[in-house]
Amino acid sequence: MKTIHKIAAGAFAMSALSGAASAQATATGTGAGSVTVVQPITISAGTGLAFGRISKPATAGTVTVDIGGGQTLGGGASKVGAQTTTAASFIVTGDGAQTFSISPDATFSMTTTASGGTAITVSTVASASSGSLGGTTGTTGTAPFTVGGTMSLAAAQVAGAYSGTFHVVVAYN
Amino acid sequence: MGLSLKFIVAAALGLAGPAMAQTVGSTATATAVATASVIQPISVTKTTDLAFGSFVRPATGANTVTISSTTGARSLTGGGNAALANSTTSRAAFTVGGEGAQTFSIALPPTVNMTRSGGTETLPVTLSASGPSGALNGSVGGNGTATFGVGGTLPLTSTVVGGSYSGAFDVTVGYN
Repeated sequence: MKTIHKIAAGAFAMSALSGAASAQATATGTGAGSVTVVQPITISAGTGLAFGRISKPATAGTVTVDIGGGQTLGGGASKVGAQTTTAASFIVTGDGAQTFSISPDATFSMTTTASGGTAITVSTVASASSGSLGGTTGTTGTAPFTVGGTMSLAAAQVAGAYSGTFHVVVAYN
Repeated sequence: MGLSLKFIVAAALGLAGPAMAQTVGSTATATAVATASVIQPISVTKTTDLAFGSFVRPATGANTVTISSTTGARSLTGGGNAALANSTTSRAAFTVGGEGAQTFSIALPPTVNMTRSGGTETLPVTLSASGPSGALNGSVGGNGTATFGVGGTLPLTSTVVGGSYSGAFDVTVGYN
């Protein structure tokens, strides 16, 4: 009798082990059922950020293009002739009525192929740190925003055409 | 036991897949281009002064002495009996430097007074440039130069005090 008792106890222990394994698989399946699916957020770039035509400065200066595309000159910077300046423009598309954050690169460089040219550093400013998509939840909404910037010209800045790229990340809040 | 462990690992990977996609869908990145043109500063240098030369004032009537802004030639007009004396005359000449192939404007005061040396009497000179604007030679990305001239007219009457007169004026050039 004593011997049979011991064997039964061993069988219970085995059963408890396999029960633990099956409980783990069940928990995983339940979690997947409560996810809300929204449209992915996308962003497309429109116009670029254009600072215009600036005379090679005698002393260091700055050129600012605001979020509306307006140009302001500082220090030794002076413009040359009629200016075509634009803020960079973007359109965000995603699930209607959602809000999102806007994060441009804080700074980036513009470079030139002109001989002896050194990079121009640009600091950016977005029209807002967050935006709100139009429309209602479940439909597609869009929202525009712009990015301006300030470029720093050195006194010894080499004349030439300068260009650079920067990134903007948008994310659902 | 070995088989059970494998199954759990596979399930975890399966979960990670959709979770990653969700993360990508909630953020998006765009790239924009920024541009600026830095061009050579514009400069202007005087190469020759405006010189009306010497003349005899009219005893009666009035005359005008003119130096052409384009040729530098001197001429005398008017009903008085002034006379030009042999002397060196010239239009003012300027050289402009800057970014090649750019156009620029030329601005100068319409009149400038010359003052008699050793006195206070003045003679008004009406200035004129060879053109309201100019174009630098060369091409964008390089240096360009251009020249222009400034002439003027000077009224002479019988009351002008004899002597040597001089004055100065500034010209301003600016990129268009």
